[in-house]
Amino acid sequence: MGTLRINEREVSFQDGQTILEVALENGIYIPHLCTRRGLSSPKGLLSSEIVYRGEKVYRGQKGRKYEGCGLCVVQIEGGRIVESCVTKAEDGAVVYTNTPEIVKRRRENLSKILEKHPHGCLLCPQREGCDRKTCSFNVPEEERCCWKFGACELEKLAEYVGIEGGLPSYRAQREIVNDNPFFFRDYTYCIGCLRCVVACKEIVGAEALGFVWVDGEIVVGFKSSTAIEAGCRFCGICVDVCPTGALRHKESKVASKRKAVLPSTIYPPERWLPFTEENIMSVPEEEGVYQLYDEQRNLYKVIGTENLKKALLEEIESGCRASYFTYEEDLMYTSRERQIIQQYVKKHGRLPPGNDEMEELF
Amino acid sequence: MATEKKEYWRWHEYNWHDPDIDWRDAEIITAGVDVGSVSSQAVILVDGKIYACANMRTGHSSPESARKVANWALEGTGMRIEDIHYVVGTGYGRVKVPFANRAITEIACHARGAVEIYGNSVRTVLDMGGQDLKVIRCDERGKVLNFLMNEKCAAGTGRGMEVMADLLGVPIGEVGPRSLQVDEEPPPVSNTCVLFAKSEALGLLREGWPTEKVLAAFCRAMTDRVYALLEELGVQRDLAITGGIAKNVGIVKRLERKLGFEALKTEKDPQLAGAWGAALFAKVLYQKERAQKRQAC
Repeated sequence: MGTLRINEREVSFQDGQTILEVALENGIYIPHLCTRRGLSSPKGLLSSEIVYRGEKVYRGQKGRKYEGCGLCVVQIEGGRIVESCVTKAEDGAVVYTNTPEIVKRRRENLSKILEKHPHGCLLCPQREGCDRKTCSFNVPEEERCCWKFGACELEKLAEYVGIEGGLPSYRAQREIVNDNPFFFRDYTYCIGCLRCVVACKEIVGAEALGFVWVDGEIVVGFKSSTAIEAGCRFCGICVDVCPTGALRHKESKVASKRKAVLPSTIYPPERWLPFTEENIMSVPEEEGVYQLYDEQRNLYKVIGTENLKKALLEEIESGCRASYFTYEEDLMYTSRERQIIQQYVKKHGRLPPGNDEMEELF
Repeated sequence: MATEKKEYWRWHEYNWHDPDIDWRDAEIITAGVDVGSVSSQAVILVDGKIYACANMRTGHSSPESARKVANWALEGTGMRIEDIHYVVGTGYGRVKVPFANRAITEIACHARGAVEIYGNSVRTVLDMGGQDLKVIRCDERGKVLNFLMNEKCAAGTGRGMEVMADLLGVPIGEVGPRSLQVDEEPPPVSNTCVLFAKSEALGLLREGWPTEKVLAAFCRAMTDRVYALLEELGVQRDLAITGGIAKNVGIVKRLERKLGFEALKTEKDPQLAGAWGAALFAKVLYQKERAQKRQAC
């Protein structure tokens, strides 16, 4: 037991908890990729000598350590930068999660991952309104994001952490293994975070998965030439924890059986502000789009306007029942507004309730 | 001698009013102004009936374009903007229609307008505008149930068609008919991006393709793009096409061939749908406002 300060907030912890665990438990978000909630950090895991991906065999140096993704770094008072997933909370420690050095370090570490992962769509200015049919920027298909785009954890992390300028594009070498009726493995998109390896060991106790180092890169695969020999029970936990589109269930009904095994993933927070006059006063008088949310943070209205501050103040005056709002500056606010509405319609099959006021007109 | 460069992209701008209607007797005069990225329209309704309209190119400033198109519609009628009881603005520049009482998103206006123009059997509206494509699902009243649009890009839209007309030296009104004058459909150009398609078209011309064949290849690529969008939302009959490209038979015919049925046809101008819908909403809003005022008295 003890207390530490994270971003000027005092929080208490149980002995043995990591800084990351304490922060997340207290609603303070620290980006994390290789460590997943409910699983240990894979940092320090040792490589095998051989792994199998379908027909392909990979050999590498045995016993080399995994270094971790490096996204969960935080700064301890005094300047030391540590990985919060493996650093135990200490009584009286003072921790900052978002200093400029940390932000920079995280971006560098994210770049190392994205350098070897197709990420064309993450950099696209039209990514949110894209119909995913034709690419008007002519990004080759091998450089684009995969089927998971829009629901991808890595994508959400990249949005939160931010991508460094000058990141070179990456053309994927396709490597698809389709050897069982339960899941596809598309190693084109594997980033070697080892979540699946940890989950297979800690949750199922199967230890069917392992990794090797090949030319300085991680290759994850089965420890024996077939899944069954490796001890795989086809439970699909590896698919559930995968933060990218590398693993995919074939039958969703199989997946639904295991839902309670792990707590849900913690995604980066969206930037909601409480809908108060005080908060609105800090909104710029610029063109843009604002979104209003109810108490449960359900979106109920999307409006493009030439003056964000003025329009939001008018909403307050007209007795609007919003509890939260977000805003973004955008010169093309009418088309941005439609983009957001379209995404909503796709997901919910109807217009946001606040935009559906047109009923009076019919 | 300097010759003026011919502007092949230039489409027909016009204004019109019904001389048989005397607006001075009218109870309610409303207007819809649709300021799009490429074209602007105004529709004036007198007691719910169309009285005047105008369709012209959007200028550099949307407030100015709004005023211009409205004034042009009113030309020769003796009516001034101030005589209109209620104005609804819509389109890209909808918030910037300075004399509008209210702004309404063009998605709602287009659906409402399409039902007015094509009748209440419309369930799917395909709006092919200057810089975007929209597919709208609506009910028999024109209320929006669902919609989908393309990404923010001019590929396969009216502006792309203008660029192509200019490049090939074919007046925009002839692009559609001439694209159909091919014995066999050529493969589509691989790209609908205006810039890439332009260089691709030039390449084809250099290879010796006749203009008609290049137009056919371009129209086909554009149709494929539109079709993909329609397919994603699902087409429920009847289908109404609005926006400038509704007047391009090269696209409409090819699309109908792919769909296996015909889109609704009209004598009216399908480009007016947005403004018309806005004007109809304006009437309802004015009546509501008036009723509220009476109650307050």
